[in-house]
Amino acid sequence: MEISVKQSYPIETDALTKYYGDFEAVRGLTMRVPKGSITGFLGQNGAGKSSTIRMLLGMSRPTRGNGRVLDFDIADEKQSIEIRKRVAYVGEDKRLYDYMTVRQMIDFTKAFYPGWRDDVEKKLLEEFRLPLDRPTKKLSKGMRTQTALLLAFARGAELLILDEPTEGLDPVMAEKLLELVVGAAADGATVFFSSHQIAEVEQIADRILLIDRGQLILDTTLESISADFRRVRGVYDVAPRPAALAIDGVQRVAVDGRIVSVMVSHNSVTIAERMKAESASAVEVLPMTLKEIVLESLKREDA
Amino acid sequence: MTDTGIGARVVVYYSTSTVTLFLKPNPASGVPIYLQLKEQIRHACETGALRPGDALPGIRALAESMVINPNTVARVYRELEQEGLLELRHGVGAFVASRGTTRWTAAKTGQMKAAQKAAKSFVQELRRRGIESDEIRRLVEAELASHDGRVPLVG
Amino acid sequence: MTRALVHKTWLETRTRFVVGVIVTLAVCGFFTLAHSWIESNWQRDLIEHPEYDNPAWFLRVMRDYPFYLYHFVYADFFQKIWVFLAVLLGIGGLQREAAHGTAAFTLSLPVSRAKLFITRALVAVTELFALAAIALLAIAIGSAIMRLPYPIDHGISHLATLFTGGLIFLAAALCLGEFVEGENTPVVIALGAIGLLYFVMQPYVDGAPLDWFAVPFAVPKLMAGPADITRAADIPWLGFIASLGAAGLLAVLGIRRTQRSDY
Repeated sequence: MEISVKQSYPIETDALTKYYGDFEAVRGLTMRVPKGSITGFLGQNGAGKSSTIRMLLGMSRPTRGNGRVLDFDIADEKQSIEIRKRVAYVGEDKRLYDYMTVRQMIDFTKAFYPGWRDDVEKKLLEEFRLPLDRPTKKLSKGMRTQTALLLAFARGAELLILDEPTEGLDPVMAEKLLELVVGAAADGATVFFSSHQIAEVEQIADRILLIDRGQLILDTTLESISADFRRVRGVYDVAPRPAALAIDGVQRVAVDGRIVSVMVSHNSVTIAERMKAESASAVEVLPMTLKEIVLESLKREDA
Repeated sequence: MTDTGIGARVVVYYSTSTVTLFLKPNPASGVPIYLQLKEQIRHACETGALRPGDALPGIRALAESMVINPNTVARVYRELEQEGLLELRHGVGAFVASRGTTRWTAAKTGQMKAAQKAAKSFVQELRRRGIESDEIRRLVEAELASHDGRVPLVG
Repeated sequence: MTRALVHKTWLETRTRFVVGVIVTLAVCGFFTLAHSWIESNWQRDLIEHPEYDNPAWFLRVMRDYPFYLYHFVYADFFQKIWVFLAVLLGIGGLQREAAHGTAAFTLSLPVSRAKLFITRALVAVTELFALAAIALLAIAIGSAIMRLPYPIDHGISHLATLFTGGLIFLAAALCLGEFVEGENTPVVIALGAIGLLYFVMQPYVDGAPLDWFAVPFAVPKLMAGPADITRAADIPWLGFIASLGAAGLLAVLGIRRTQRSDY
């Protein structure tokens, strides 16, 4: 029972913290990525997405806190190797060893993964028509990206960790990458990908984790966003007592003169009724898009 | 390529795969992707693009071609099965339901025609009262969002 | 997996290795093939310019062919090139990969950083060893062509001290590559250090006794070995072990550093 519970979260962190000198890049991040999901890891540039991903892969060490990937400890060097045997990584930087040809690059990478997918390699080679004997430094940027994608997706990994994978790609290549992600997910892989492109997250993800200044501020599903997230807006003659809005489901409250706008994650019906009961003269319930929710969540109180 | 006779040349792609039947969803539209896909499948059945017994694309193939989450496709197929539009045969795939559908389609088509009429007169009525298109859209959306209007818009 | 890593390191360093082979052949070839030409020039100088104040080693270099090779190849000119080649072969590592934008790819592979470091070290040591063998071969063949009798033991002994001393520079370069960020900064630092070392040591090239402040810089002396070794018994084993120890220490330092770095 214990095992099955753990296996259902390929990524788990507990109060994960990372300092770079005095700068606190990740501040007590606690999150879980469920098995079989495509989880979008959203946040502004510098929010701590890359720092988190680098810790998950053993590229940097946590200052404090714990993390487990596929039930291996991320801070233990031996276990980190076990993690990397089972994880494919694509970063924003898709440069390759410029002293290798495409073929050498493939053979090199293949040597590390017993579960290498020859079928995926073959399919992508045919699709991309990569010049196998050309040194990678003489490839166009597009071909370099295609090679990097082949090297990642043919690993046959059970978990994909992608760090801003579509950054700097043209729309066709970005869509191709997302298509590969979807294909890997259909094969049963769990996908964890960071992005600040809300549209692409909305397109393929089923779960959202939003971080800001190194902390998790939103953890939800896209299903819940369409079914439960609402903006409830009321017009008041007299500003309501703050306590009156302390209702389960209320996420954010914005007061602008007579208008009180509340972002709710669930319970919108009850909340709207309560607002009406609290002397709001007019109450309306509006749907919210992921973009609105993200922007609303990222609004800072001092702003 | 086909010469249309008016100087323009049209590129025609031929495909036997039902995958091409569906358009890529528009994440910016504000309509959840799973609803967009559901609507597209319903629409394809209504127009006869998909007929009883026709196979739908596999979950993987459809997810890859539309570049959406495979779980989303699976969910749509499941929900449409519950609604009686599709039939899921284990290990084989999804098919347009053979008997239920024809009836469903005919009934639904009639319903939709009636609904369209109602919507038309509703919009005309609001316009007559001087309500702008944007305002109408907002009212309808708000109404839909507030759980089938259980919460009155204006109290 | 190990094969793949070795192959990667080889592809990464082969251009530098080929440069090393060419330079070694050219320098060792030149000093053997040009011996009689150099010697006759000096004989003429000796006759035409009796007023020249010639250094002590001068006459011996002309009389004694092994000592001639000791002077030009093992103790001075080629030794400096040798040290440079050792550094050249040791360049690389994760900091350099970070500057190239490939560090994340390498670090995503299921391999420990210690293994990455050790593989690079072993490939570089092998390459350096190959260069020493090539130098010996070039000297032996060049001497044979010029019909200069040369005891091969002499060459083996001196190249052995040159090789083990070279390991210190190789290890230092490997180590610097983990400590210093950037693509070329480690190289610049290494070259600066070598320049300083030889600036301090130049007065002692011909066997002058070391001043106290020069003792810590005595690596070039160690690499040259005593001028007269020809038998295994003459090999300075203590220096040998000291070189290996220093190189090993630098390597351990490099490994610990690479294990602790954040990327």
